[in-house]
Amino acid sequence: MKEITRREFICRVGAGSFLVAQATFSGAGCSGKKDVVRVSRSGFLIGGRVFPLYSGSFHYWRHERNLWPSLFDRLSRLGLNTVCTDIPWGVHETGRGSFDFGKADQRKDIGAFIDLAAAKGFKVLVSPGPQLNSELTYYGFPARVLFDPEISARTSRQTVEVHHSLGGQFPLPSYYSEKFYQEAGIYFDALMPILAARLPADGGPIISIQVDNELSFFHRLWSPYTVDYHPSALEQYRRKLEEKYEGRIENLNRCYGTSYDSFSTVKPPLRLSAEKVSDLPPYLDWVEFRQWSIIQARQRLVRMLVERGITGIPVFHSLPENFQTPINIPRSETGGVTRLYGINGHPGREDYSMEMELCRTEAGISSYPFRPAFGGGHWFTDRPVSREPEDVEFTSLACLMHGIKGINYYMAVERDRWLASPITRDSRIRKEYFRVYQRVIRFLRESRFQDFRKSVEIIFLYNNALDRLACAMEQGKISLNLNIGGEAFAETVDFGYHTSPEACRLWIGQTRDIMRKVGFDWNCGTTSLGADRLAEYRVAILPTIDFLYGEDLENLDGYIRSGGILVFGPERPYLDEKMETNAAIRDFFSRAESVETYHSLISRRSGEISGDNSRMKPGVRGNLICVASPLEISGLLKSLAVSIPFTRSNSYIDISLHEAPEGRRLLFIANGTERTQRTDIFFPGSHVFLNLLSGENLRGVGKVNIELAPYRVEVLEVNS
Amino acid sequence: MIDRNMEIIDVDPRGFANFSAVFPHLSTVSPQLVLWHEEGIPRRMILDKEIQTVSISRVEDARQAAMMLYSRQEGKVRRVVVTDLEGYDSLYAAQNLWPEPDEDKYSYLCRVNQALIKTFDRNVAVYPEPTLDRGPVAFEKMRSFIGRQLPDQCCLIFAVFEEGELYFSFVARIRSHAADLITSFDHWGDTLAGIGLGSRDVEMAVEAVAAQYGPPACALFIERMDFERLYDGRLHEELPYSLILDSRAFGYPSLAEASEEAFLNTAGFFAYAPVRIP
Repeated sequence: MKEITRREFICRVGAGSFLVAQATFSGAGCSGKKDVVRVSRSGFLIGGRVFPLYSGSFHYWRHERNLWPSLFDRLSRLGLNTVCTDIPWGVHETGRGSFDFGKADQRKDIGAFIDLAAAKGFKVLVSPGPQLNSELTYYGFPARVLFDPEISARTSRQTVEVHHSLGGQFPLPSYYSEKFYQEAGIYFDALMPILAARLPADGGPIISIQVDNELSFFHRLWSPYTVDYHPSALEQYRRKLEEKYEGRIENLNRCYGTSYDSFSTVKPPLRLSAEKVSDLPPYLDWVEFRQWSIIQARQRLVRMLVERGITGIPVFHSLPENFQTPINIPRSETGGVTRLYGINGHPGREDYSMEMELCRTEAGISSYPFRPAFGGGHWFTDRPVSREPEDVEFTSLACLMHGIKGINYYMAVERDRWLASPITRDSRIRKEYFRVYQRVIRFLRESRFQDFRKSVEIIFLYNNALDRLACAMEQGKISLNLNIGGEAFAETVDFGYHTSPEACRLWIGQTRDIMRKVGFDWNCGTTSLGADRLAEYRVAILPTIDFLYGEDLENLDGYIRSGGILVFGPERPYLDEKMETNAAIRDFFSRAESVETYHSLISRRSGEISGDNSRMKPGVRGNLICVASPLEISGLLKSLAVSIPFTRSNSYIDISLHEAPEGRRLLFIANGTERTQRTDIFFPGSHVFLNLLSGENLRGVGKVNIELAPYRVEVLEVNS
Repeated sequence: MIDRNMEIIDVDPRGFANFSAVFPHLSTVSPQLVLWHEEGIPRRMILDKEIQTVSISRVEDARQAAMMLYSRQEGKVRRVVVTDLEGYDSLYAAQNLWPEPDEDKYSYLCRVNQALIKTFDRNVAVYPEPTLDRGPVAFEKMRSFIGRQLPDQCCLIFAVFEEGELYFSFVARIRSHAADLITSFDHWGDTLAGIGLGSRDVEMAVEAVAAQYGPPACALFIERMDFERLYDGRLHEELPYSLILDSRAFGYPSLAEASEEAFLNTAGFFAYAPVRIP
């Protein structure tokens, strides 16, 4: 494929600038001109057709060029339709402003790699960083950038914060540093013409581009008093406060109980020393600022791509596996320039419960729930590793069961510092692993899994207020050899709330346990989800403490107005994030019915309501119900007629139903325990079940009995 | 010495899983006891995330308190940290020294430890003082392990068998006296697939590896039970039954002098090198 001309490139840059303006001011996303590739809940839309993403990572620069063709052939035999590769800045840079893209070292010819992928029938995902990890010593950066003091992030003590990687250590870069973006821009200037020439608009195979990787202060997003106290960070922090407090320092002083002369003198918190509710706003503002910064950094990098001609394709970003709200995904997906998010993960089978939660979250928040880096093999780790071939099948199917629609196996092709991939570094096949990957991909293709949607009526919301408070209370700073976590200082402070964060977390845990035991299925979301996304669910469950962010109230109110049922507990919020009594919040929640009142209301109305012609069942639309005790949740959901079309006798077994528009149904059944489990599966009427993995048939009236080996998922096609 | 650009390729996944399952926990700091105090008054004590009853009424001198807590635990903890919040921040700062580009981990961690020790005062202390020479497979031991007089090009072989069948294997390539690559028998594909603990198989393995990487400076072939026995917490007078084809890597000119420590270091080297290249 030919490189684009300079003239064409400049035209695209011009178009890019226009698109940036659109993205920034209209919130229309990065693609002002018609997107060639778009995102749907089922997959990428290319030329109006759904393209489900079944991808594998293959790092071109780590393999001899003459091996590339046979490695692609192996990937093809595996059943994948896409390859994903990192493009590390530090690998290509030979000196500031000079780069090798294959002239000196043929392995670094990214253009030829992408062209060969296309010739072999693959679509391509590219990740140019700047941060990649890639298990490289400097995470994909050139050392000269990381060791530039102007670029280094600062701790609360104004030291650097050192990150320890496999081969060494480096000071964390600051994403607030202007020089950081200038340096990244030099790399992007050199690389992007190569990628821009291979976009779908020119018949190229690149369908999406990843910006940075797991942007979260290098996993320190949840340790707020570590980094980043870079001078530019503090400038932005003060500007953000000025915006929030409407440019009036007296507003801030009243809220903080301080006497600052101006915003330029406001000091960020260095550790939590709050003792009562009214002390909390500065800490919550700091946490909120750091989270806002992540989105800003990401969007700036996206704009840099767009300015260099990367248009017409979705930009995606991978979130770290320990994802917690509130990185405001829904809002930045719709209002910002990043179009798509996925959560990375390299789970072992013993991580099933956590993975279930992550997948439910992705299913609830992402435009296309896919795993940008899902464990295809693993790197070397201190913890005992269980990645037998059957574990790959279990973890893959468990993810699909709980809402994931697309996968990129990282790594499909093994290489230095990686093991247990289906294809070895030198193009051999690890037979047992290879067969398992083939079986999973074959299932996805033959079942046309992209046509199915997980059938859920409930969304469980993460509450920004609760999670930001928990983050603000995290004192931990030290890992490495001393490893003194925040739990050493996690003294329970009675701030004077009616409901403490601990009590609320207990409510969450118990409520979910009960729902799971009874057999309800759900997705997870955040209070930032727009009312339109929330409206896909009949019931939203919200854990609450005394305060709520005012902006979240709008979403929740919109949801109820559209007919949704908002169930919350254990507290009726009455404060806003400034810890001031907020009439709108107080009034909103004070009108909620208790479960008891609600039940009596239902019984009164049940005679009045006939038919079931809406998504609302027995007499309930747009309701707000307070569940003070988790014990009330099961009865309430039953009385709301939340359906459980299939249930089971053994509560160690999870089940999930996926439905396709033409009436096809897939029933996933999972045993996430280390013991063999037997269970009856109950259902109304009679059904024939075809096990799509084993090919066996099961037939039953009212129930069938099934045995599942430890860590096993079965997929049954349900036929009446 | 270990080359900081060491590659790790073709490690048999089953073997690595077996290895990580049987090799004992490698952390040199866990279990760790942390006592948080404010102006000498104990606030909270944590033993590996579990809250403990605070057994002292006042912290007059953090070093003394740390030593006392350590001795009271009678060997149950590997390290005690006594600190207030200000001291915690000092430890945090000391642990984040400016690293030099391409500084090896060992040198950097030595510098960090020295900086940590300098922060100790009446409010903050760690006992025993942080060092890289503690633990079952200390960094220093590993460094010196292959720092002996070795041929310019040679290899190390370490293979454990379960009832005669291969359980896991590691091979290290040494070039210019530095380990620059770690792999396993999987690197030789079908040639070494299904190898057992028999003299013929062992000979074949050594020949295949030597043909590619040079003569073995150490080759250990050992049964799993014997391997695990090395980690039962005792010092054994006799080495387990095994095949030691060479012991130059241990620094012993003849086989008879090779010690149990040689086994421990060999295992430690292969355990640590992939994840924490010192």
